[in-house]
Amino acid sequence: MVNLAVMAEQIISFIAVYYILSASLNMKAGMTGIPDFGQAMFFAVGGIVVGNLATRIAAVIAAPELGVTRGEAWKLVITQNTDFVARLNEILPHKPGLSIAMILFSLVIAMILGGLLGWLASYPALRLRGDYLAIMLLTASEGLRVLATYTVSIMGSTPTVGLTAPNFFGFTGNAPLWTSVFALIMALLTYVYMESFHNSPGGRLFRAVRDDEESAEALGKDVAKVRRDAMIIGSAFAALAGVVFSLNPWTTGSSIAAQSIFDRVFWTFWPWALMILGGMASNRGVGLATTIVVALLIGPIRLYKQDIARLFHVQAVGIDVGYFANALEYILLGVLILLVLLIRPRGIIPEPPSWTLKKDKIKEIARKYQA
Amino acid sequence: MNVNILMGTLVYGSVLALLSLGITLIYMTTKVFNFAHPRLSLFGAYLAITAMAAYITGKGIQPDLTVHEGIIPYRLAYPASVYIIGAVVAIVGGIIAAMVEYYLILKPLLDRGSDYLQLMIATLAYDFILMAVLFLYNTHVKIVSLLNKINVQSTSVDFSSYDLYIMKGYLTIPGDALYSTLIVLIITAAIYILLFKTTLGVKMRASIENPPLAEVLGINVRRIYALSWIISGATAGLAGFFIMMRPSVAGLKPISATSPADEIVVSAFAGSIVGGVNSIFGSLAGGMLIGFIEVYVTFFIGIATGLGAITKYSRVISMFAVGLFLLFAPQGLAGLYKKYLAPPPAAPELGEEEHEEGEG
Repeated sequence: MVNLAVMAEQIISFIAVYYILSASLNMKAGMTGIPDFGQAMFFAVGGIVVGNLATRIAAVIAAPELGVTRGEAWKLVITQNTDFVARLNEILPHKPGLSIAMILFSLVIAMILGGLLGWLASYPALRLRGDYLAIMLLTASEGLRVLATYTVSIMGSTPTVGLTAPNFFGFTGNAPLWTSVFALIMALLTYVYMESFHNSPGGRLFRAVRDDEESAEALGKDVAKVRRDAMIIGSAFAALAGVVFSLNPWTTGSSIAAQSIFDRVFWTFWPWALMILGGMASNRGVGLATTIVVALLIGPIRLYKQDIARLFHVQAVGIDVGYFANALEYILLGVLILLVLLIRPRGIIPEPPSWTLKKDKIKEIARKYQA
Repeated sequence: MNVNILMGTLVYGSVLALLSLGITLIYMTTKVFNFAHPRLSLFGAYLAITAMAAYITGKGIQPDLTVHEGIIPYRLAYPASVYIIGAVVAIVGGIIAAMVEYYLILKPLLDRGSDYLQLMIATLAYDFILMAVLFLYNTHVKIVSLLNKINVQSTSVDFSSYDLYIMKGYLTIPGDALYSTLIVLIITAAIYILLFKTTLGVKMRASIENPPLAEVLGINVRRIYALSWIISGATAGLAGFFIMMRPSVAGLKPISATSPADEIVVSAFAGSIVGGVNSIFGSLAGGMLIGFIEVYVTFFIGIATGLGAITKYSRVISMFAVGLFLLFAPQGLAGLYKKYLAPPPAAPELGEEEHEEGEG
């Protein structure tokens, strides 16, 4: 039986994660024209900060209550991840101060580290263009995935299981509710920021660079700086999405594994699909597309794929339910992208003009000139 | 010298060379990096396994494991026809998958004047659809049981019946290493002849270097592009056929809907880029080189430093190779060859034009 409240909470969390991620991609690819196919690596920064760094620091602070020294606590989070973090998770609900501090710490540090990685990635982004850059970022993301997967001090000793997610929202009493509220707040803040940035001089400069680099340069704008800034800010938001995802034990399935946070289908290609569907450089379009597609497709499939597959009665024709469930998401993703590209390549809400003044004022001026 | 590792490297390098060749060919003609390329080879491999198993059961062929003595002593488990059928079906499967991609997805988008980004994303979408098809197919026809039918000992097909014994007992060249390397050499020669010795090759080079001019001169550029998709699909199918033979090399998992395409995609693109994305022969060399470094060199670094675990990180090398070549030698091996090794009065050849997007 499907519990509607739980379903709503989880879907809201998914919408928030995907919106932040798509908006961050929209800033890089839609507004500035940097084809970032390495979005998953910036997302993974958030996951690593929560699962590794923040958990370690929380363990070090709570070490006396766990009966180990601080130095041991730092190491035990990795070496005996499952048992030790389970013990930590029992203590955390009684420590609201520490939990809140760690949530804020994760947000700030992940955004800084994400921005730093974006700054590193802007080195090729300044020197390469178009498809070369896309390939470069995609391989960088895959390379980092391999690095993280097999480095025990980053992702733990078993790559498939990963790190147990810390229970930083345990103190609220109703963690699923409050994680989704937190995710929603983060998504709304992102929306407000992106919306105001779209119309700001900075946003217009980003799009000017995308449309015509040479004329922007001729007008005295530093194109390299613009592209670098887009990579830094955009990547910081992608890391934020990673934090929002990893803080919710229900969306992560209680463990943060390299396999899940570096997954290029979930965290690079789905955001691309959502961005194209919504309309590149159209913040509202991306928000709308994310809400609709995640609420109707991604969320239900990710959460209840076995049940959905059973609805189709595929066993009758000899198809395994588990395989069908896996195939379903890929078919939907592929068909959705192709339909958008063929039928509506500019998205459901094409890129809006920027309203630098209030709409009434612009109409008034226009009327004055018509008269 | 560890012969076994070297032979594995040869198979893996050949597979990468074949995949890189396809990626490069598509990039040169259609100007898109085909992300679905490794999946095309999986599609070929799936069809090949099915066909081989059906042929064996249909004809009731029993494996024969006795060693035959001769000038070249060999073990003949299955008649050659089984393997030939497998290879042909793999090639046909690759071609079918590539043709579907070109005619149903990329051509409509090209006609609409889509930009490189839209084309690239469309290839990704096709990749997912193909993966889903393989998922569904795998449930109908259990690939593992088919493999068991073909080869009783393992979960992969192998060519061991076609091993080449040079001085029996001292040096054995496994069949898969022998044939994959031979195939790469044959394809290299065939493409050289096609491009430089036939009229069709002249048309092809003209369509690549200057499509509008070629069109004015009465060449059907779209047909030439379709031809390049056929070659690309065929080589992808062959690569898939050889991946089946030795899935254990380079940490690849046994064949399934997701693997090894998901793991090999970075290495295949690395081969294409290291070769210089606008050079066909460069891509063959680049694929071989990447395969050699990933397997052979990391193996010896692992032995020398005592860190056996280093082989797990082999795919990071591909990432660095892509980065270094794109940033510092965007023309790849072909460009380096032209700069330092080629005889000065270079005859006009493929990929001569400067790539505008290489440096910003």
